[in-house]
Amino acid sequence: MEPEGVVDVLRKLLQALIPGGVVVDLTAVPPNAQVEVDGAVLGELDGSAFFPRAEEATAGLHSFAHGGLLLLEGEERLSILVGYPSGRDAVDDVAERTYTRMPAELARRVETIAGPVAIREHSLVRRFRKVA
Amino acid sequence: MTRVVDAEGAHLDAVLRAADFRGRRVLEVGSGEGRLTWGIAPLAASVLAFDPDAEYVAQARADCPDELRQKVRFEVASADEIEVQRQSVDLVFFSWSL
Repeated sequence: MEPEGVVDVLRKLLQALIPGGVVVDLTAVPPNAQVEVDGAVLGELDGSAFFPRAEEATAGLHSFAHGGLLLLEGEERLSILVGYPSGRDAVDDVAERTYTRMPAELARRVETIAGPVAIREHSLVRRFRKVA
Repeated sequence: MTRVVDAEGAHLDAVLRAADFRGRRVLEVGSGEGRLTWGIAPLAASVLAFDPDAEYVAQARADCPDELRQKVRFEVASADEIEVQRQSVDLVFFSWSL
């Protein structure tokens, strides 16, 4: 979705919200997700095509905040783990993603891992309030 | 493929810290297979949940616990296709949806 499209969609959806209502936005944020085995980092995914798209939504919400429609009340950063029974499963899952890729050299190492593999992804949760 | 997303529930915990869902009419945009819906719906008055992936929505409908069926509705729609009545919800929850 193009940036102006994000703003249009947000405007429409915010019309559904009562004055004083709350917006909770959960989104993926940099740094790049990391592939881990037993807590040791093997390497990073390439999110260079994904994060700009996520940032469009962030910018859209902030444009409403700057315009006085929304008030940013709080935010929290956190990371989560996506677990896989094997490295092959992790490689296959990332391969199905549209905007995130696993570098080939890292994929070659990960797919040889027979045991559990995790991908640590970073998130941002923000709360806005609709002012009017 | 078997994958487990956020087994520790860190996302849900953070979302519940961010806002009070109790008694709220919630519009969830990007509900996926309902991973977070199941955590907020027991608190909310109602949840209208959208996702553009029909397979995810079918899975969410199939997995919906009986006790939540009266207040959770899943529909297939991308964010730009959603039509909701003006000022009809108390809380909008965006989940990586835009």
